[in-house]
Amino acid sequence: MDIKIYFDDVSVGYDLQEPVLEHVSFTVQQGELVYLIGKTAAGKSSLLKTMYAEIPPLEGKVVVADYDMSEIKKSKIPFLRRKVSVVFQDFQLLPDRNVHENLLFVLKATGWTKPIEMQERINEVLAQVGLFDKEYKMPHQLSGGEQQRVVIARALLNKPEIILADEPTGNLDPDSSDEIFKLLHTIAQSGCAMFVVTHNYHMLKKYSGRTLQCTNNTITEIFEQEHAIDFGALME
Amino acid sequence: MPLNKRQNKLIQQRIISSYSSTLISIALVLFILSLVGLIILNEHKISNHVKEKVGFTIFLKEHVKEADLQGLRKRLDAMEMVKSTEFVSAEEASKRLAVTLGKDYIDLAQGNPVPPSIEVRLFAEFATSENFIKIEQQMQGNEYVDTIHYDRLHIQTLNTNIKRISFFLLGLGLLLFGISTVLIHNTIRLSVYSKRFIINTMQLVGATNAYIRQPFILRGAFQGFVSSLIAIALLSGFLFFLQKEIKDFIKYLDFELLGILFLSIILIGIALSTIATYFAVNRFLNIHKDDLYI
Repeated sequence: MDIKIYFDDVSVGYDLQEPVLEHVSFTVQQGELVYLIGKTAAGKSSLLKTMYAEIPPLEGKVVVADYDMSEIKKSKIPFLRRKVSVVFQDFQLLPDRNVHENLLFVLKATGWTKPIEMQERINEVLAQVGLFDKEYKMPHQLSGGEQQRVVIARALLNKPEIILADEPTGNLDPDSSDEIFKLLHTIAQSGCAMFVVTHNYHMLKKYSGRTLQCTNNTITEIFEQEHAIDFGALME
Repeated sequence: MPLNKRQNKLIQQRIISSYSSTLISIALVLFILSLVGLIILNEHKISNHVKEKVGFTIFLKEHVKEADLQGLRKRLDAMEMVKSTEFVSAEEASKRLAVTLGKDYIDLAQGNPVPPSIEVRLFAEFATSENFIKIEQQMQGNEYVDTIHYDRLHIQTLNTNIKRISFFLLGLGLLLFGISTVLIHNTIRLSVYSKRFIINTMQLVGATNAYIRQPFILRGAFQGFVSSLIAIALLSGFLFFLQKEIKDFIKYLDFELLGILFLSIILIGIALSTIATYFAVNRFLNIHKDDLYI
């Protein structure tokens, strides 16, 4: 199995004197679904930002999709983000264009040129997330769950090696959340490494995966026998 | 929650209104700039016109023969500095003086006291007191010339004032150009600022900075072009209004210069708008995501 995310004794944050997380070491392999849980402001989002090159690691070695995050040049970041897709809690769709145009933008920006191929790929991902009939809707005309599915469709366009999801169901009702987790679980099974930051511990139990926890300024792994632990208490 | 048709229309109207207010803001700034440009471009023509109105008078000795007079005029006309000469006979000069002083001055003077003369006008670039002195020195030795008259102080004051006005206009032009640059930059920066999260999203999905920048730059250039056309329309309207209010105003307009001004406004509009867009977009391309909320 390929290692897609590699952290070795990493410090994460904005200030070396006061890192948010320290001594972080873990790996994520191809096709793995990994959850990251932890209290608010524990450093989960900062860890994710380190993975998509929003902030560089303060110390240690981070390799994501074969890019060394300590040495990655600014000009290479767009190419990293074609291999690593991000799904946000607040969706971050382009609000001034419809679903088709949102997806088309990504394809054109990442080098696709043939209109027929682009349309075929859009049809494929929309079918995958069950939104075939919403192609020409504007984002504000969709429900939260539908918008999040468009974001997942967008993330799938370039067949990424890794999908990072930052509380993808944070703004959704339980039914929509369940649909999104089901979708992420299915995508992971197809071979894409999935790293999901979440507070939704009900889904953790329903859609099994490895679980990491942000606690005491570092990351520890929770093994299956520990799942009996009260997740709610861990995340409060 | 899906929006109804009325809400969609409202959103579209807001987008159009925001876009057109940017266009109008840039157009108004360009219009002010074009007004100053119009004055600066015509200032040279107006100052030349004024300078060439000032000349000197060569009073001739009495009983100069026609042939000698023509010889003297030819010598003057042949000079590089001289634009025109006009012979004023003693009778003509007397008539002109009578208009100023009243007809009874001839009775008081007991005859015509005014000698014949030649009025000399210089080209604007030579209309300096130094050149007047030079010609005076050349003419003084001439056997037909009695005296030479010109107002040295008036010429000096005129040249000094024209120079001052030119500098003032140039300074004003530069100042307004600076203000225009700042105003256009701010208008565009605000327009790009409203799209800062869109820019960030584009970066997150793997678009390169150049790819993100391109449509903004093209839109900026188009905005500059449309704004400059609006500014030209406003300027044309203003000139049309002046033509209606000031008789023969159009005679003073140099259409070649006006064409250059229109072209300059288009180029300045496109350039300022494009450069401002480039810097505004670059700012948000290089900003840390957390700083987008500040």
